[in-house]
Amino acid sequence: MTTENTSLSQHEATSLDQPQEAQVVTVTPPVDIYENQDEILVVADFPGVPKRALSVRLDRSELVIEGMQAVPEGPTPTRALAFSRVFRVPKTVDPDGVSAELAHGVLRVHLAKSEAAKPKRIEVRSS
Amino acid sequence: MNDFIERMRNAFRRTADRVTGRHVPVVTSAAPVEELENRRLRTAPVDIYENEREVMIVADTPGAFPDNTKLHWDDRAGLSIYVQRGGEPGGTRLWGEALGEDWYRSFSLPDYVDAYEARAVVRGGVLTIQVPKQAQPAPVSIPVTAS
Repeated sequence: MTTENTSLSQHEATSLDQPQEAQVVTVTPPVDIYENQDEILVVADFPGVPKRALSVRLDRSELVIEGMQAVPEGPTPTRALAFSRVFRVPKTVDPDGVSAELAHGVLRVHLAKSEAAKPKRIEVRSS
Repeated sequence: MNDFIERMRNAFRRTADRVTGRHVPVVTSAAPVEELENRRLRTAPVDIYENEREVMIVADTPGAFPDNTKLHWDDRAGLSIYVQRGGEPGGTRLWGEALGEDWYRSFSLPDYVDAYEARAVVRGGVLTIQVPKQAQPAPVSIPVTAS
């Protein structure tokens, strides 16, 4: 922590592609998962993590959320935080219907269900 | 002169924070405890830093933004953070690790800070509260006389 004539708030985190000589700490972000008839929603906490530091991908039947972020700590060596969560995705998810958004430090990954997997209303006709 | 520059710098920062919509006002009264009843509270993890000018509290409060974040300061009750997040999304909860919905944390502050001048900014779900230290009186030299 640099203190001389420096506001403490100026120590902001930045992302690193290749952290050099950094102590990497693996962090498991807490996750909630919800399901309704249209989609499966994965909600994960990533406070202070910019969008560019996160990677979300659907790899075959696995949803992979990972990223890396450097945390400057003044004169001490940079500490990097590595995030990684992997979830097995059911076959009912449409691979083309996956989207993700990051807002206010919360990542939401929407996994839309395929049309075949959605419940269908069956009309009852009178004879 | 340095004090004038510092005041101008702080005024500029506050204006910039308001323009970007990230500034969170600190209400100088005790937190209304009744608001916390029947809420599922999560304890926000915090880091606290200090240098010669200020004490800074950095809290991880994902889901926080200026409109749902309340900061209260009271001489007796201390400083409290309360982030009232929206309810859970619709549907069935299949898996839950982030137990609780709202963020809450309270602190007592040392006597040498001026909490009435505290300012707070929330960005990317991280709440940063800066509390300046009070000006300390200059050291006084006491002459020693021989009897």
